[in-house]
Amino acid sequence: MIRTSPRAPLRLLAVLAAVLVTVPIAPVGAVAEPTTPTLTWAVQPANQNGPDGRRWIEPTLDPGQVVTEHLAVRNFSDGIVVFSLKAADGYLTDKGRFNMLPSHQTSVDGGTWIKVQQKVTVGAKATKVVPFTITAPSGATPGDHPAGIAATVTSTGGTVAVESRVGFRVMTRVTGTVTAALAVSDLTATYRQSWNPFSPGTLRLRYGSTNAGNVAVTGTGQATVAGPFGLATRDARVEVAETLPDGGREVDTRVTGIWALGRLHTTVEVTPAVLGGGPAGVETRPGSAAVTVWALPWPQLALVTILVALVLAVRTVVRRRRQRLAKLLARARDEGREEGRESALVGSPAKESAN
Amino acid sequence: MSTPNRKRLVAGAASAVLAGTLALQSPAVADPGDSTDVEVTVDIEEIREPGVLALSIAADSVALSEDGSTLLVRQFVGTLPTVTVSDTRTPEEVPDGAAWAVLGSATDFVGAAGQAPISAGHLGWKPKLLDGGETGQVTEGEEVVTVVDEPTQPGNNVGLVDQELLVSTFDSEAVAGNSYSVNADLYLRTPADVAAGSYASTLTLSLFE
Repeated sequence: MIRTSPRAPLRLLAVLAAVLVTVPIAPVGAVAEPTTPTLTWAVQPANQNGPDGRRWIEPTLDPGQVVTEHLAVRNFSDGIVVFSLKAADGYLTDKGRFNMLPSHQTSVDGGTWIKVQQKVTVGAKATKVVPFTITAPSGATPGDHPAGIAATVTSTGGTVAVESRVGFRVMTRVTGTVTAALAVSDLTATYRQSWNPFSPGTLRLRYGSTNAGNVAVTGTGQATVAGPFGLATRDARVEVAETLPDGGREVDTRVTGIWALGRLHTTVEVTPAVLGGGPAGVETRPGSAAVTVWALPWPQLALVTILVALVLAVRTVVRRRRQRLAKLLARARDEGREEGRESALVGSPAKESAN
Repeated sequence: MSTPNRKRLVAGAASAVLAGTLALQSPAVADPGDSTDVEVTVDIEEIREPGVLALSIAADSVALSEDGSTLLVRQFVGTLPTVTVSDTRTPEEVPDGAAWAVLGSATDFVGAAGQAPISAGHLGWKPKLLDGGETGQVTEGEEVVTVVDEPTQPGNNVGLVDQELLVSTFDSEAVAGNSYSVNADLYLRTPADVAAGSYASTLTLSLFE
C-alpha cells in the first residue's frame, strides 16, 4: 500500500501525458510506429509484494515438507507478453555454468519438486509475482537437489525455433546427514622439459574431480611431486571450483620448478568444503590419487654429451697435434740422421778421392 | 533513441499542466480572505528500484537457407537473433563471486513428413560479440563445428548437443551497469544424401547467474 500509492498517480500522469500529448500532436505517428519485436525480461526471487533482493532460493526442507515461494517476472518490453513458466533439474556445466535441463529432457530430481502455473501474462513494463511450491518427497535423500525455474518465450516458425529462458537457481537442501566428498580420478602427469639445461621443467597434472557427496562443494588441496628418495620435492596448491552432487570437473594444474631426476612420484589430495559453511555435523571425505612418471634430463644429458665430446675432441686434437709434432720431429731426426749418413758416405769417397 | 527522455519530458509537462489545473480548482486555499496560512511540506524520497539482470531477444525465428553446399556436404546457414544481456544493478547489488552466462543447446531436427531426424550434432555456431563493453570481461563463446567437420579447436566438432556458451562473464560485479549483445552464425551441415523435406529444431538459450 505505502509503496504503491505514490507510484499510482505517477503512472496515471504518464498515461495522461501520453494521451494528452501524443494523440493531438502525432496521431498518425503513434499508430504507425511499429512495435519493436525485441523482448526484454528478467526473473527474480520474490515475496508476495515483489522482488525481495535474494539472488536465488535456497530452502532447507524435511522430507515431506512443502514451502511456497514466489518469483517475479518482469517484462521490460513495449507490449504484453505471455511467458511460459518452467522448472527443471539444475546442473553445472564442465566450465562451472549453471543451467537447467532443456524442455525436451525429463527432470528426475529437484526440478520435479517444483509446481508452478504454466503461463503468466505480463503487461508492458510491468511485474507479476507468481507463487510456486517446492515439495520435498517423503523419501527424499539428504543433501542438495538443485533445480532452476525460468520464464520462457519461444519464437516459432523458421527452421530453428528459439526458446529463451531467464531464471534463477532453486537449491533445495533436504535435512539429514550431509556428506561432503570429492573423488579424484584419472590423474595423469606430463613432464615438460625446459630447453635451457640450467632451468627446471614443469609438470602438468590433469585429473577429474567428482562430487561423491550429497551437497555442493568446492575443494582445496595440494599436489606434491617428489623425485627419487624424496629428493627435490615440490608442492603446489590445487583448487576445485564449485561442483554439485554427481557433478564433475576436469582440473588442469601445473607444478613448476621440477628437475628431471628420473622417477617422479606425484600425489594429489583434495579436501571438500561445503559452500557457505554448511550445517553442523558434516561428514567430510577428502579424495586423493597418485601417479608416477619418468622424467629424463635430456637437455642436461645433451649438455654433458656435448661437453664430453668437446673434451674428447680437444684431447684428440691435442694428441694428434702432439703425435704430428712427434712424427715431424722423428722425421726431422731421421732426415738429419740420413743426411748425416749420406754426407758421411758422400764424404768418404771424396776423402778417398781426395786422398 | 530518446524514448525515456521524451517520456520524462512529457510526464513533466503533464504534471505541470495538472498542477496548474489543481491550483485553479482549489479556490478555498487561494481565497485571499483566509488569514490562516497552513504550511504543507513533504519529503519525497527518490524511488530506487534494485537493478535486474535481464535478457533481450529480437524475437525473430531463424530460417536456415542453403548456401555453400558441396558434392559431399549440404550446408544451410542463418543468423541467431541478437541476444542482449542487460545488467542494471550497481556493483554493490551484485553478490560476490557471481557470474552470468547464456548457454545454448539444440534439439534434433525432426522431419515434418516422418523423415529420419538430423541430430543436433549437425548444427554448429560461431558466436559473435556485437557489443562487449569496455571491461574486456564479457566474452563470446567458442565456435562449435558440426560432426561432419574437422575440429577447429581440440574436440569442438560436436555440434550444439550439449550446453555451449553464447556469451558469459566470470565476474558479474565488474561488468554490472551495462548491456552486452551477441549473435551467432548458425550452420547446419548434413551429408549430401539427406532426405528432402522440412525439418525443425528448437535452440534453447538460457540466462542464469
